[in-house]
Amino acid sequence: MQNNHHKEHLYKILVIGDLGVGKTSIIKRYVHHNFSPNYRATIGVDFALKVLNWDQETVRLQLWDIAGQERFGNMTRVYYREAMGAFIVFDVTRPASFEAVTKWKEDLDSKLTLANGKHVATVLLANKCDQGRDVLTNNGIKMEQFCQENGFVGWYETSAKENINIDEAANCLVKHIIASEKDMLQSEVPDTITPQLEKDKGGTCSSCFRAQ
Amino acid sequence: MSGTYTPAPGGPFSALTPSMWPQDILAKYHQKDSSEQPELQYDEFGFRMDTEDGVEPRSWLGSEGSPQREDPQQRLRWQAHLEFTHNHTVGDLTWELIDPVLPRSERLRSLVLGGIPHSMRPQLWMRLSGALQKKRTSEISYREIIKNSSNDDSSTAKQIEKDLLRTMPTNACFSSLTSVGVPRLRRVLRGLAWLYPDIGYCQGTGMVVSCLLLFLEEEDVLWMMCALIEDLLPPSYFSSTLLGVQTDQRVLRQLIVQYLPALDRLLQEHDIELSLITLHWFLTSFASVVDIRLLLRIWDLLFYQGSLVLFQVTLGMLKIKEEELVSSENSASIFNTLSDLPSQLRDGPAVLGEAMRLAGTLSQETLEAHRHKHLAYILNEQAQLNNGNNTTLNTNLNKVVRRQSLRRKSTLSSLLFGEDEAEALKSKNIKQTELVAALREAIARTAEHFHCLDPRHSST
Repeated sequence: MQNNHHKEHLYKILVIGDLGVGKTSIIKRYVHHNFSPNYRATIGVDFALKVLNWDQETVRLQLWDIAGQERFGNMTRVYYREAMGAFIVFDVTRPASFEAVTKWKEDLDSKLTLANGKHVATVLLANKCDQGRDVLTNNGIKMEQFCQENGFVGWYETSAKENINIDEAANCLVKHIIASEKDMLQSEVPDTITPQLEKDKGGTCSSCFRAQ
Repeated sequence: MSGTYTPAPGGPFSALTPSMWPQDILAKYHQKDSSEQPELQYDEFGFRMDTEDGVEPRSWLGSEGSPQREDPQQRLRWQAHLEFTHNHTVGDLTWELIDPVLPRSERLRSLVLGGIPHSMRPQLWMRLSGALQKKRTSEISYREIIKNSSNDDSSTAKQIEKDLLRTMPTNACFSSLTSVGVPRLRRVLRGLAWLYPDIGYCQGTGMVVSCLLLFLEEEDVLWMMCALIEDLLPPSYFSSTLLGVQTDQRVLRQLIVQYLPALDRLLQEHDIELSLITLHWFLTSFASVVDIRLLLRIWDLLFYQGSLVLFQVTLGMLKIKEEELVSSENSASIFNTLSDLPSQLRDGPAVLGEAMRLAGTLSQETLEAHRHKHLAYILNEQAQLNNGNNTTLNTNLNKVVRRQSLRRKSTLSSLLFGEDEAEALKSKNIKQTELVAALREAIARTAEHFHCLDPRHSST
């Protein structure tokens, strides 16, 4: 495969995790390079766009900032649709938010799979690492093990406030998304018609296959 | 409590209820010599006028929609109406003498549509919404509610605490833990969570409560919220299932087919899920979505007519921007235009005018019929999705149906069968709904049975 012309990629990325772990702050830091201690609580879902240059190609990341309160979980099926990757965030100063990580991962995996049947690439973010008390994340080996057992492609200690590791985590996620996209293209049966290529968007709705 | 410093007429904080005037900031305004610029500027509602967070500066001096500029004609019309309906002569009438519920009439509706004079809003909102009636007839007092809900340790209290400074961070009354509005917001949210166990704390209600707190005393805010939850909005709007507000998103989508066919085609063509954007609008009744001056006009009407207004206003706002939307280049720009749409509309009369021109004839009955249908669809979809692990929804449904709530009406049965009938046919409806729940459970069990028999799942 050759890239002799400029290619563009658009990836939808979910940012999920418990209420108040810093999802919005991470996105604002990543996209707008600033930080405020009090962003408004996200209701439902919010959106942001980040454009990256990646090996002479343009990568557009559509970041979906999803409300952390449990009741909005009723809508996550709609929110997750067509996502290619995810960050699951917890707050290192609140163990309960870490315990919720597996719940979020299960919710994600049960509602979203890629065309090849695999789960989307997910990176775990241990946020607010500037506030210390990260007894949990001190044990790197344990965290690695946790990631392997729960299907995370990696984990990072982050701080939206101090701008620690956010670009690194995003690069890691993008790397895995691109890899899984290549994997999907290769595993594709040649004579299958991919609806995505036919039209601008769509193709995931089951009723499309029955269209007249 | 209303201390020594008073806002300048039309100046910062002047539109707030006096007990919310932030004395520390007002003191600084007073001490300042005229040559010195204060470090932060606030508008008459207490919002910061900087450009941080991409918030556009709000100008208060001589701005068009300033509530300080009460139209004397409109004020006179209101006074005349109140005097006429209370048989009093000019000058005699005080708020104590005005009934807690105003008789509904075309005249009253047209006055509300024309806007309530800002200085009369606290008293009239309480009367239009039914909140004053609730306050006067409630068996439990605000004091008792607060006492009962003062437990710090519950997970609800913790969630509320996390959100206190994330509700209206750009307003001086809610920007720090020592701000005047914050303890009030905490008490009202905890009180509501205690009063409605099936709702608990729902993110989004904080936005409504904080906006109300700018203009009303905290006890009145609680009763206004009771009126919204029990009467003005459909059941299960804020409950843990969010069924009511989800249903309304489907209803909105159907109304767009009818009222805005060009927009409907556009949304279909670009596969845009409108509820991603509008859920927020409905859940907060536009608080935190539109400029506060427009919000006040929408709420005047909302408190009189209820949730119908949310649909009319949404349709009106979409209509105003329909051309721009239809001429958009791609999905992304449509999506952005939709997201930014409410914050770009400032002109109350224009928005309400368009809303009524387009959807003024939409009736509550039509709305309820749509709601029943779409709620049934949603429940059906959830049942199908939950075939694999059917326990969640059934327990949810049972919880909603069999719950013994302190406050009435926010039950699923009233959502299914309509509010008025629900009062009259409550026991019957609960029985019916329980039958439906039992039937669903039976179907789910049958489905599970066949699921287990399916050779594809025979790992056990």
